[in-house]
Amino acid sequence: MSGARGRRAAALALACAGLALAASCGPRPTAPAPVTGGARGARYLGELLRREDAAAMADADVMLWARVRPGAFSGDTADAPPDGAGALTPLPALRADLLMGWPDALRLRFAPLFGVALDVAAWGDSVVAYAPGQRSGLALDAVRDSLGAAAPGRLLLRLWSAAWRPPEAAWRDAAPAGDLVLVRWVEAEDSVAVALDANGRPAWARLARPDGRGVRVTYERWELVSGVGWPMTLRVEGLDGSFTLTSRVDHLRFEPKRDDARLRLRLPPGAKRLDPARLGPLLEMMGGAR
Amino acid sequence: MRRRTRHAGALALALALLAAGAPAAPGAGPPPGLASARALLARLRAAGRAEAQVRLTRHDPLSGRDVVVRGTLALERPGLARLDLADGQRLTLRGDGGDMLQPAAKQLVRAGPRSAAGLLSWWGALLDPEGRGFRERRVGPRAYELTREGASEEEAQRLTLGADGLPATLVAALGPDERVEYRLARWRFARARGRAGFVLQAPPGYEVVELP
Repeated sequence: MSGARGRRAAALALACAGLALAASCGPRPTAPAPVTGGARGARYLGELLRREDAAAMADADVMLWARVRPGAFSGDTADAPPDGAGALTPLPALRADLLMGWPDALRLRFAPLFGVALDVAAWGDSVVAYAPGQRSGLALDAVRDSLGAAAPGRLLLRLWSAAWRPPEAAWRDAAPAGDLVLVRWVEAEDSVAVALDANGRPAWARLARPDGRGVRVTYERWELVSGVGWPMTLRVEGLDGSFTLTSRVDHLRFEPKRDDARLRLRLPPGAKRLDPARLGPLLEMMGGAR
Repeated sequence: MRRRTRHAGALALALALLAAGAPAAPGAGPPPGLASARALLARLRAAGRAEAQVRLTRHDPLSGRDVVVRGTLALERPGLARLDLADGQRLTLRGDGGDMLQPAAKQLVRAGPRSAAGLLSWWGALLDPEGRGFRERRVGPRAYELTREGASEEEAQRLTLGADGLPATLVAALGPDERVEYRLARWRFARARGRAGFVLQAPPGYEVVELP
């Protein structure tokens, strides 16, 4: 694990150095230099490296607000407006424990005050969800069960920690977009775009599947936690307008060692297994980042 | 609210403790309902309102941490309950649903009978003198196991009464290694204030979420 992290850190450091070198090789400006895509890229990669090196695992208390289009997830569109748009309906806000383990594990436990209502873990290609109150859950495999989102753990981790990874070519083609610098690339079949602000932090990211479905994530507030810039408030929107999800991190703790026992969720013996179709559509909407 | 009401099932069960009662008087024959609920129901019936201090402790086996929350529980008949937590959260239950105020989310959730059904089934049954919907098993001098009708034995919640016959401790198992303990203390009884005290209002700037 430490070797892999070390190699990744070395690769990122090399990329940072390359970007910084590229940014410094131009003519010496006589006035304050405008921030270029290269410099922002270097800042972005530097911050990403610091986020990932801050800990092998992060533990956060989060508050989640969701709004959905009626029937968008159940397939029952009887209550939906005829044009398919219309106002989204707010759902009750939920507090959750969020555990993130690099590079590909994430666990979210809802409503921990009176007891866990729903426990969801994404690990590599697998997703396990368990509702202790109902003693029922499901265990899915992204490939076997055609979730529509390969490596859902990695995707969710990227989304929550703003750890998008543009390839080298994407940095070369980065273009200004107003005050932002836009980096775009294609990953597997999906189109990914990340817009960086002047600090090199993602202002937003968009991931779209070939059929147009996908998500846009807006990073609304960043804070320094133990000297590391972290997205504390983010908003996820379905590209089809079917939902929004706002996440606010209230407390964030970095932990030096990844604890797989805390990240992994197994259905207890005797748990009732639910139909995978109940989780699939939700993940499918989130696209298929690798 | 469905998830909320489900996770708050243990809370409802704590409220249900209210239903714990003293043994029947000699020669009177066993009165109907839950034996564990009789003392509370009798005093509630006589006074109109019951209040207790609540200390909720949940041990999280994953983090190894204990989460402790304190608050005040208020009960009135028929089927009115309110929990005010020290962090500002409020939860009420009525026959027609219930409300939840979350200051951290700046949100008030109003749940109708359909959304609050899971919680109300516990709550309604335990404030019901007939004790409908529950099985009760005495497991000690002042200890009982309560199980919802149709639920398995492993879902039983353990209720312990104090020397006065009033609910003192409820332990709700949430899983093989996880449980929530409610300690109820300083019971006091007063005149009923009525239903209005069990309907929460949204402070300015709060979003109101209506559920059926």
